Amino acid sequence: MKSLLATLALTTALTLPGLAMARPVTLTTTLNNYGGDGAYLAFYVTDASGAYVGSLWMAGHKSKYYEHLSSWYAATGGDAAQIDGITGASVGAGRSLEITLDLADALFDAGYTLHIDAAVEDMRDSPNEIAVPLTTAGAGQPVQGRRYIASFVYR
Amino acid sequence: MIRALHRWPGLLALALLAVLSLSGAALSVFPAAERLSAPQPGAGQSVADLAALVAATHPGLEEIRRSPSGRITAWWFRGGTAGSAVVDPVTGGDLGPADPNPVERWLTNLHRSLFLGDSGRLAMAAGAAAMLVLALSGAALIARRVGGWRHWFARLRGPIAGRLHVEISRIAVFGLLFSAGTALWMTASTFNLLPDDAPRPPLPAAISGTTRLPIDRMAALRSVPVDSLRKLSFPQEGDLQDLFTLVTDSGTGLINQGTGEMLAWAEATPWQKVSETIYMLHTGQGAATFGLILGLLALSVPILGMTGLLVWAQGRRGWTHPKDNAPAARARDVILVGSEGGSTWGFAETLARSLREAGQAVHVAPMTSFDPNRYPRAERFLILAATYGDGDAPEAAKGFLDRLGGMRKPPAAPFAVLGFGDRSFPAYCAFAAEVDRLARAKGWASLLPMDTVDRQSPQDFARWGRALGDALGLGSGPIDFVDLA
Repeated sequence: MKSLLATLALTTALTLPGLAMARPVTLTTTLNNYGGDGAYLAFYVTDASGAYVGSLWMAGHKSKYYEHLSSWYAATGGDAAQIDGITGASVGAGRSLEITLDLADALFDAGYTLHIDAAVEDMRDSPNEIAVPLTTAGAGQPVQGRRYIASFVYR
Repeated sequence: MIRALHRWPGLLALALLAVLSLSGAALSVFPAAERLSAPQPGAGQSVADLAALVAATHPGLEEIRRSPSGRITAWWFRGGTAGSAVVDPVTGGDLGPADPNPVERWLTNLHRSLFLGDSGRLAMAAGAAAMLVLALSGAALIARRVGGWRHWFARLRGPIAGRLHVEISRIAVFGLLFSAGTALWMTASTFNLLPDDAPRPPLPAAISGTTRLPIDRMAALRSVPVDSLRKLSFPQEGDLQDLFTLVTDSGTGLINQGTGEMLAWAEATPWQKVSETIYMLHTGQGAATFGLILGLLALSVPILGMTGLLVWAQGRRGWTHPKDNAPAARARDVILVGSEGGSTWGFAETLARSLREAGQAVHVAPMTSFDPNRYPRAERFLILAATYGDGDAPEAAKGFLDRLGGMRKPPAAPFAVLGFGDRSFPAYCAFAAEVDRLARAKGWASLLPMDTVDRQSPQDFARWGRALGDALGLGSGPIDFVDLA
């Protein structure tokens, strides 16, 4: 499998008030061969009540197409400031994206959920392609997406 | 000036434009093929009927899309796996996979970005801009060559490469202008330079969380014909707060799954409609026949590139020597040609052939290479001169006046000037007249009074030919330009 490694070290992706401790977390997303063009992926976190907390990464540069990441777009209104400095290239079918970022300790085992919205040109938009709770036990456990993501794992 | 504006973008963008046009022509076939193979819905079918039909045959249905060709695709998720298929709008059954055609996708990526992402898109946009400049400057050059816009389809003369170039481009230029202009619009749209985003309906504050109404009873879907459908997204299974999202060619709406009523609607903006129409016409998706015509016209680009290259190469070499050209040292008849678009060369060729048939040794050369010392046996100089724009020297006669003006003694053999031009221009044959005036002022003996040929008129040319025949004592018989009539 072709692997596209976008290894990125971000100082603090999610700054929450009063959370000093953080740990490096690697998110590995592998797409299946869905037979379309490169996928746009939005990585973001919601709290226990389902409210949007912040964005971790945006794969895809053209803001024109962000509305197709419909859950992310509904939560943020497409606000470019949410993904300022954490935007990369879209991910081709069959390829992997690896992101390393510092996530606050307090996000784990506290009811937070990591979401990935996916969209591909001329194919169905897939909001909430992935929705996994952030837990220490869940680290290293691969999950499968609905339509485009073959596996996603954080550790 | 216009010639340079046509030549340099053409030479620079030649390879890029060949890729753009050939891939574009190949792509134009797909919408037509899809249009022919897409089953059409029964007359008057509503989105509600279609959705109910497809939902019944596809549990877990998430979305129905209608492409501009009328092809319906369904997207579902059940038992942990996602699926999609092209469906028959009449039976709701599957017709085949909905996966994009890999060849079409490959060609599309080549056509719009050379597989190079945004830099490739910009390169292709530059290609489209070059195409636009080429089409506009080319149209101006055609108008000048044929003697004004009203004579757009006038008969052409001159060497084959230049003639073919103009013959093809005066038809193809319209399609190429359109393709290039719409390509630039689409690039501007992709880079978010146009306010053509689809407006989003406002999310309703509270949604009554009742269970789903049968789809075929939803009023907001019953009133929409399938013909205007773009996309219908279903609410997530089990989420009673979620909504149907309906996209039609007139806007986007949100529908309450419990009541089937439209909760919010956002009408498509005029900018959005213009962009959608431009996309449809450029790609042929939704306008397959028009797309095929554009694709066919795009095939002219490689031919125009080759013939343009030939014209340019010939212009650089001055004049490709005709087969029977007598060497300058032995020539008795020297034909000097000052051609701009190449058509005057055609007349020179005809004249040379007639004189040769009358037993003369004829040498044809561009006016730029004029030097009387090269022609020790010359008995007459026949100068065929076009005029560039507003009375300037044409390409093949640059420097002639300076050389003639700088001569201490004119050539011994007499001269005759024939001007080529178009009476609708104010400076009709002005360059030829200037040559004639200067030659007389230098004391050069004249063989014939200057004459002119209006818009490549065979009658004008034949008239001068008879006068020349009389002056040479050959009679009008041999110099009879029958093949021009």
